[in-house]
Amino acid sequence: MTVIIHPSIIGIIVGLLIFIFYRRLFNYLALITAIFIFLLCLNLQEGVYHYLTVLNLDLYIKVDKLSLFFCYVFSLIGVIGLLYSLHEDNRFVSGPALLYMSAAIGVALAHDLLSFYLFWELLAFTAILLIISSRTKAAYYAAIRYASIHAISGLAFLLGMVYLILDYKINTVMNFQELIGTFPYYAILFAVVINAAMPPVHFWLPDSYPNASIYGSVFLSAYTTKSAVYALVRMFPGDQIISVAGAIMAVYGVIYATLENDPRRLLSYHIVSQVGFMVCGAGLGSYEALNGASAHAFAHIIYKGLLFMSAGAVIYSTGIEKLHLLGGYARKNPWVAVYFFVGALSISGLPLTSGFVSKNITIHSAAELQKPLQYLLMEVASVGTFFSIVMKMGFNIFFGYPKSDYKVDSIPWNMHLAMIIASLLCILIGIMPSYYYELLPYEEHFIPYTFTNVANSLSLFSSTALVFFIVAKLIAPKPKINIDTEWLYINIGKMLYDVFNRVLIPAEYKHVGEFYRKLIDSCIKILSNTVTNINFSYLRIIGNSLPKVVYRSAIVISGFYDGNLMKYLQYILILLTAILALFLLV
Amino acid sequence: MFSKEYKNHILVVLLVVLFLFILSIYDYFTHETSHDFSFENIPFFSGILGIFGAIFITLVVKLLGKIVAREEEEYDRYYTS
Repeated sequence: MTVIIHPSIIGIIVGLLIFIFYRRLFNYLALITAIFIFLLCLNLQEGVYHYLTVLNLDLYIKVDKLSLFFCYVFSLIGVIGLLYSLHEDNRFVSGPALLYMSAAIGVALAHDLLSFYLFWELLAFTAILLIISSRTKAAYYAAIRYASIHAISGLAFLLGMVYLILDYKINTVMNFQELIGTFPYYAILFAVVINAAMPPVHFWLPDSYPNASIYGSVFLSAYTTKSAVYALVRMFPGDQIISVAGAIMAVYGVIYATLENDPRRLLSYHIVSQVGFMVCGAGLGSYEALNGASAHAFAHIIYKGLLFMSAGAVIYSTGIEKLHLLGGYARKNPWVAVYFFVGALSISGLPLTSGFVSKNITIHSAAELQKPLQYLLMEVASVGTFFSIVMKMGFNIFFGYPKSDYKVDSIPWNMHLAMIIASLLCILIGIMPSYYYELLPYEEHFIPYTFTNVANSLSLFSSTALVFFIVAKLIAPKPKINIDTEWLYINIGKMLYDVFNRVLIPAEYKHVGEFYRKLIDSCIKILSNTVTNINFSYLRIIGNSLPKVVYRSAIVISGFYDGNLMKYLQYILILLTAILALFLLV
Repeated sequence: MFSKEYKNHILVVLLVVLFLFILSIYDYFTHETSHDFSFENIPFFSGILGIFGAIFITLVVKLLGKIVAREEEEYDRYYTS
């Protein structure tokens, strides 16, 4: 078995060092490392490789067209995102972003279930760091909710994995269709569905992504849900329930997105919707549908990153994150409007954009497989996407008159460059689909640019635009928040808390506590007598001199321990390196 | 019919309507009959789907908004307490 250096291991080591020893200059190191990992991914050859042995367990990566396709886009958006955040002086951005990217690549390359699980958990952990990168109260609470739901996902995966290894002797990431109806199948599927943000377990996504910093949300939009899509394509292709759930998910996302007033929350609901297309493709299960799911994941990562970057640029330059307070931004900064509309037209799937050549594969395969429900739901979701992003969000931010007296600051060069690269990629994929289709996991014969396809697409979107102008006043953004399924979980949590408070805690005090009180009281009495005896005989002398010694020592030590946790981590790391060096020398 | 804010975009709307009209005329004469679903044989099906899809989404959004929308000031009550 050939041994290679895992691209993710490099990212994890450098990302961890950047996080611990953070200086703003290290943003460049993170960017260079991401470029290096991207080049490494480009040079990966198909095959199964051994990369690490931990506690006598051999860990492997599997490189095939599917894993490579996801690796390319995971590393590419990492490079673009790190370029976008190059100027930002924040410990919780570049290091965690590199770790997050490495975790996603690790998931895509994992061959054994243990590797998959470890990288799966790393995804959740690093995402939490990115969520709290904005350092707001709302972000911390959102991070707790994110951690809670992803802990459930991780536990479900672990349970399914242990079951698979012990009962079925399966230790590799593979198509689990033969196991349908068994416990591990549903446990792992449940874990993947949570990460794919499928309603009703999707609430963590629109809750946490808008609360991260504008840089953090670019990375967050790319990795967790798309890793789950990869897992669905790899492990659960052809599950019909998933295909229907995915199509419903696509419509659910656009309806909530149309309600939203916060641009990043609106975009977050569009992740739910667009991932619905991919989930539906994975569920349809034909080679074309799986290609559609993968192609759409790739295109989605780029245009969604672009949309989050342009929304972030608006927030960065105005300080406003409410649609009802914006308007007329295109007159003040037309370039950001151009970037935004490239992303918006791509997500809608208009001809000459990446969305048109990727989304239509899945819709076409639903038609070929005679699935009218999925077909119609995906078409309605396409209408809703155009309706809410291009028309509602686009018009309310960039056109019309300003709804508040806001000023526009200039945007750093690196943010512009990142958005230009992402815009070019959206257009290049859209105008040269044949090159794009060559990268897909299976052979692809779909021809996107037929007269019928283009005419249908244009008539679909132009009629949607017409309706928008008529009903624009009805769906105008309002200063409101919209509660979602998290409301249910929060209330269940509060109810459980109340039950504990009212029933279990008094019962514990009354019955269990009484028994322990007697036991502990007698122990304390014996201990007290013993200590008193020792105190009178020995400790009195020490008690007189010890405070003075402690006081003097504390003055000396306080010079070193100043409460800076990162400094302590740095010293620990230096000490460990010294021990390792000593160990290697001896 | 049009909201005040969009009256400046009336020209765009007229262009959209004209474009739709040309497409529907063209589609009426050149409509393919070998589709995967029978409902696709309806002339100008995509345009009709776009119109009804957008109206459907508007209606659902208005209804759902009445159930799930809360004042912004209530954010802390729901999410950070």
